[in-house]
Amino acid sequence: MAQISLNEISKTFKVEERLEGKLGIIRGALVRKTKEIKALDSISFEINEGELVGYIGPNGAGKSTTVKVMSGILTPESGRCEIMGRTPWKDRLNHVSQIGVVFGQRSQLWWDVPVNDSFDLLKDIYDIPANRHKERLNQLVDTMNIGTLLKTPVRQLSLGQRMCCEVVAALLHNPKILFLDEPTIGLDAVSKLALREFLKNENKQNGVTMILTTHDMDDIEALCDRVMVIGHGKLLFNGKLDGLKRQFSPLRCIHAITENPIGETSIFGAVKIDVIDREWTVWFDPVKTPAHKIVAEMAEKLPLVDITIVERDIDEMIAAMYREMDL
Amino acid sequence: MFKDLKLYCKYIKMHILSGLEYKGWWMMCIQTIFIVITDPIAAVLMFSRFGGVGVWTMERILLIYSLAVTSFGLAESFCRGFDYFPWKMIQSGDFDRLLLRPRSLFIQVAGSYFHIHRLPRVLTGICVIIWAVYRLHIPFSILNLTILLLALIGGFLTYTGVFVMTSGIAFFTVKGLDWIYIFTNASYNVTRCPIDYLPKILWGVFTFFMPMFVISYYPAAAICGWGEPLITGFLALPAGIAFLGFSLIIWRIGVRHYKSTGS
Amino acid sequence: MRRTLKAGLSLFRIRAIEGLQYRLAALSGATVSTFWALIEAVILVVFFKYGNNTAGSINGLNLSQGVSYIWLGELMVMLQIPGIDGDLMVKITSGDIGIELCRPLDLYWHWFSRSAAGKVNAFIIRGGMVIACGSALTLFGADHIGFGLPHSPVNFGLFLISVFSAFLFSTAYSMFVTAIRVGVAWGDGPMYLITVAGTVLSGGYLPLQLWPDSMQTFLRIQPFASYLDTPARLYIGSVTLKNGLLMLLLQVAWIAAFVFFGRMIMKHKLKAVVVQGG
Repeated sequence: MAQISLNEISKTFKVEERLEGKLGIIRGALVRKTKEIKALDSISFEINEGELVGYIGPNGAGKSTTVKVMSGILTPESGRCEIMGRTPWKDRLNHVSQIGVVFGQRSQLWWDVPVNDSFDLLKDIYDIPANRHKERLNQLVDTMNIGTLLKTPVRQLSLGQRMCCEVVAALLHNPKILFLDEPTIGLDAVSKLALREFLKNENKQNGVTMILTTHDMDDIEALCDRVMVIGHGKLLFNGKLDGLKRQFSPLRCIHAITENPIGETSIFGAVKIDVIDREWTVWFDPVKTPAHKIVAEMAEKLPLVDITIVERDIDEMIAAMYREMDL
Repeated sequence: MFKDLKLYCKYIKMHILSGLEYKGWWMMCIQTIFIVITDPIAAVLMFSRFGGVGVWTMERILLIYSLAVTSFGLAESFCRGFDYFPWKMIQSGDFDRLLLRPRSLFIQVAGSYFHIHRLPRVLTGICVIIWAVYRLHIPFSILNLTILLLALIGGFLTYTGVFVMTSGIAFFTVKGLDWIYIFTNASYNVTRCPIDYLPKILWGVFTFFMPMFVISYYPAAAICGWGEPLITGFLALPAGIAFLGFSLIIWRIGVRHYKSTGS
Repeated sequence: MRRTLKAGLSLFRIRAIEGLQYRLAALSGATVSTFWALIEAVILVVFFKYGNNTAGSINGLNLSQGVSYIWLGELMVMLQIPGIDGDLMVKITSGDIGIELCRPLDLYWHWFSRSAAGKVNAFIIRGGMVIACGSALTLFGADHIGFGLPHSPVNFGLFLISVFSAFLFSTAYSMFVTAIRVGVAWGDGPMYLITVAGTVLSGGYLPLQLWPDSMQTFLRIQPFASYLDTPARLYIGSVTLKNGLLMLLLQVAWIAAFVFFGRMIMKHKLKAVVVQGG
């Protein structure tokens, strides 16, 4: 029985259109034109307990809307959704006590008070028994290493520090599911790595299901085994990240430098070869021919000075995917 | 229920502490006192020039006026979160966060704002009430004090209701909300007009729709013996409850609308 | 200077167009203003007619004049808010003034035209609606609490000039307050107090003629009379033409004073801002 299941969820928004031109503005003062946008179009998927799923798509695709539906703050117009046996928007109080949400651009901490006071308030809001709260808080604070920040008012923290505290705040009440909406946006490299480490551990050790919306592909690569792609409100891909890579970036590439310029030679398994002077770029399909075979072939046939197997540029892949899917 | 109240008290404590950290808080108190004085200044000056209107002396009008103002001040102090709600929470999207907490939305919004500088209004109001009762030679009997207390509680509920209604409507439109001012700051100014001479329609609106007179004039009439049936003096509390109940319905409709259209 | 003027005018136009879009807000605001005017008018009528020390005319103000004064009050108060233009407030509190200084425009006049534009919308739309309601009341028979006609065409002409003066005055005064506000850390409290004081002294709470007789001279020369009292008295004709012209001159004098001091303070403050790095 899946922990989270969505079935044909649809949501349409009405958006007002501003009329152009001078006359338009005066007309707009009297009459309004509305446009319907289908934010979610029959979205269905299932997520099992303990999974770490990435949810990607271009801006405006419907990621935030899906998260809002799943957290129960938005009511869809059709479709069914069941999370831990409940319908999120119908059973708000019980549902939200079991989930945690982190919004990358909005903080849930109280601005003018020390971090610790915020945590204390959350303890009361979620009705956490004092000793359990203390234990959990200490554990989280140690892991995230924010002990020195506890007495600082939130408004004085840097973005990275604030995000760490946000995540701790979201996990204080031991939720079974954690939604993260662009958590690494604006963070520096060190903070990003720390956050990813933390999320991974939390997922492995406590079995917290996590759904991560992000534009940063490195997040996805580091954390998620499963990825869902949404575009124009439709679910376009739902499966392993490897599968996504294979579908949209089937070719991999090897750069090599030879001792002296050699004319083009055929390499078995190569799909395309570019040679400029002593620099070689060889494309191949890793499904058909594993990388090591290409390398061996090239080493045999060419006087190699240097050789590099290039990792797929996932951002380029995603861009290509969006183009191909017409997003 | 009690857990919610405990949470509310915690919110208030937090706001007070962080409010006191802000250096200008005493200045804001002075500001409030200034406003409290300038509001009825027109009435006071009018009375000093014209003497009075029939039996309506300055003390009478000020008694009614201060009952209304004190109730307003109480609601303003303890539930102003609702008044700031449209502009602070909805526009910034922070309401989503409230929906994500397993707590009553009402308590969360009510506790979302508190600043100590609202209290001077309440304190000055109470002082004026006491002064007016004394000047009108009305005894501070148990009965009278009960009526006054009920009036203030009922008034607090009424004005809280106005704030709650404002927030409920704010879910539908924020820009066109200024008219609610009629029921907040403008409402207690209606008491400046001697009620016998007030156009009937205003009396009707402020008795049967937003029971401002029920929480100010009628209790005053009851303790001073101005010819109204005694029972009307006790209607403040039920009227307040009824009006708040009505506002909560509007609030709930607003929340439901928000949940289906998002932010 | 010409560039500043041109920029100022186009800023003006853009903000004016922006304002048109907030029709609901204007309507809603106008309702409140109308309500206020009605309440004040009713109270005035009650006191004048049934007051114990009633008099026909007080310091040159009779009942129907008083009622028109109140309606004009609701109109002119549109010029008094906000004390400091909202956009500018944000710039000051966030420290963005440095950016403003990068523009090749005289800062004072630039902000002046911005403030002016900000006031015009509310004034014309919301103020216009209120006067329309008041006039409608008179037209449909409720003329004892409605907005009356001007005393004479000459008075009306002087009134219009005075309104324009009041408009300039309110902007000059806002600029003065803004200049003081630049670089001040302790919040908006005092600014708000000054705004309320200004409204009270302009006659917005109670026509100045009804204030205690001992204060009358003071009230006529203090700057805030320019907001409302001066144009109102011209409209309702409770001053002689000679005195009216003197009042107009006084208005202009106050405008000049506030512009002068505003510029001076601003120059001083901006020097400090530049030195500290904004």
